[in-house]
Amino acid sequence: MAHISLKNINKVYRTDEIETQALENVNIEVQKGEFVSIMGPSGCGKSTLLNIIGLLDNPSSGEITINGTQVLSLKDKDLSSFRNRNLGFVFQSFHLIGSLNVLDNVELPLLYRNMPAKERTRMAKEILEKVGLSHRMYHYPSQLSGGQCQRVAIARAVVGNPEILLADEPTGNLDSRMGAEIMDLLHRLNKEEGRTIIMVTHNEAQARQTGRIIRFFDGRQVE
Amino acid sequence: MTGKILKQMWHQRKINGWIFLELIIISFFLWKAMDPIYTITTLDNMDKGYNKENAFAAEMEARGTMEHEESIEDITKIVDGIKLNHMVEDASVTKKFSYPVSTSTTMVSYRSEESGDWIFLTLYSGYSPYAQPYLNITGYTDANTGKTPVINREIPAENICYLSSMAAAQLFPDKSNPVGKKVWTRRDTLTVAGVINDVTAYYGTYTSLIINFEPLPESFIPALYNHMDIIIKLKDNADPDKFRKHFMENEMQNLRSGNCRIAGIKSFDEIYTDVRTEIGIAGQTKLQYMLSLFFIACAFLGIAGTIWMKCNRRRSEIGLLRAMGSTKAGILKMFFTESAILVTLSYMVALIPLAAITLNSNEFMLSSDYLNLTIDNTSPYLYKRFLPHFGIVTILTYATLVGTAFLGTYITVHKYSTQQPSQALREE
Repeated sequence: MAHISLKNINKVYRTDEIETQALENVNIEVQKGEFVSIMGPSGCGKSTLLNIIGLLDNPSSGEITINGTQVLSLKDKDLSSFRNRNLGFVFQSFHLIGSLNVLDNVELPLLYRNMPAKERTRMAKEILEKVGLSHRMYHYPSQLSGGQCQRVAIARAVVGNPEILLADEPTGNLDSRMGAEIMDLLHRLNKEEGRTIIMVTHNEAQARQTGRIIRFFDGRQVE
Repeated sequence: MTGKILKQMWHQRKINGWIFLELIIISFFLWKAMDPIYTITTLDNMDKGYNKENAFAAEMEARGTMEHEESIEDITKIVDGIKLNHMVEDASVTKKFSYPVSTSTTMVSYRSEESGDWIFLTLYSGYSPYAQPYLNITGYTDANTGKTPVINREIPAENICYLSSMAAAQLFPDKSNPVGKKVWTRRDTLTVAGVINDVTAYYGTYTSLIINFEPLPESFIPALYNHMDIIIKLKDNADPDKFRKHFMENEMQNLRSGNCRIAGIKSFDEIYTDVRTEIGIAGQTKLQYMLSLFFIACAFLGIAGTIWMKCNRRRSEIGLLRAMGSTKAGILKMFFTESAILVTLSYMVALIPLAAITLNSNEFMLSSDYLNLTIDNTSPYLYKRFLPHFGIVTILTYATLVGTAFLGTYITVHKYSTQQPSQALREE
């Protein structure tokens, strides 16, 4: 059984005057441990698709199965818990909370697991060590470089040990050297830890490094 | 979680500092607006120390010249006539304006062995044959038993008096039990028959009251008759409106004797309301309510607006927390906690000057715990005591502050937490 399965996914944005079809009849299957890139021009629906896979948005129609669970039928509490335990997110603009230090930012997903504070801190420190930021754990996001911020975001995404990592243009705001660092980190997480990664990118070279490329155009899967 | 919230608030101290300062100022003035509303409402609703239900005062009219004397029997016949109505429990003759809701007051100076100085007290006078009915109708209650005082027939009623608690405290400052002791006017000596619970005047403040009973004169000059009123109490199950209608349509015109007749009748409640309107208290009270409510509305908008803006700025944080696994309720709880901490801390700071001002104003420091009377939450003493008064206004204000902050938080956070996280995360 596929780790992630999308069947006949459609997404339509409606306003009073306009109806925009962001995704049209998308069918994708991603196997456990795969590293998949989603590519396409701006506005073709890549991020919308990633949001739908990450349960950050609902499709207008279709079915999503993750780890054997029909996720669209989950209630808020179960959905939140499912997101927390199974999905990790990395955003292009990092989305770190500026008023929390690195350690607290990384601990965030663990706050929703009824875990003792000491255990949370231990896990967060361990993951920061892994991404090479243990010396920055008491710094605030404003005191870090873009690459460091993205590494914090990746640490936060994987601290709860989710099997699936969703990255929306993770190197989009970084220079090429930092971008390469982040890609190395993602590959390590995929190969060494077997995490399933779905990454939206504009960078053809980075996409070629992944196991599979899914191309989108105008809301439709073209490859 | 609270630790994280505090850490986050501390890191945002620059912006939170301004909000904190704003909340201190709003809290201070909100307390000041709540105080009169609470005080006025409490004064209006607390036990006034007399009976206002089912009680009426009849206005008498008489014609005659200064030379013409009328027998007092004309008055007593009218009183007896009123008592014939099956709805009437009792009726009594009093001196003019000598019942609880009456307008004018006679001030007389009294002293006791313990007071030393002469003390000015408000004097209400009944007539000795009607002493017990007078007490039954007015509804004054004994300060110790809480029941209607019962006249001891061994002492002539014209030699006794009743003191309100406040008057007793003034005449007997050592707090000894005054019952059986003497008080003097410059002319008479009276024995204190009992202490009644304090009676409030139109402003809601206490009156230092003394009640005595004079013998009925044998005759009176109708031209000057207006020294008397008739007060009436209906039976508990009687309908006051029905009584008034029936009395005015069928009985009033027949209730005449000699040159005396009943000119009109008003319930104690009506007299109370009319007088409050006439002397401006009703208007002042309305104005005070309106000003206070206006300020509370302004404070509400100020607090809700500030909190709304604060939460609105953190829209993407709400989306992020949802993405990290927080439930909608979890996010609301987090923001509520943050708002509650801010409001509570700023209120605690505002309470320091408020307590100092309230204590110094001396407004609540008049101790009337005379004779160790039971003081409970319904006691008219409540508003005179610093701690209960300050405590209640403080709690009411705090509840308003927290409620307003929660509403501001709820409106914003609920909006973003019920959106799809992707929408909340989108850059503005």
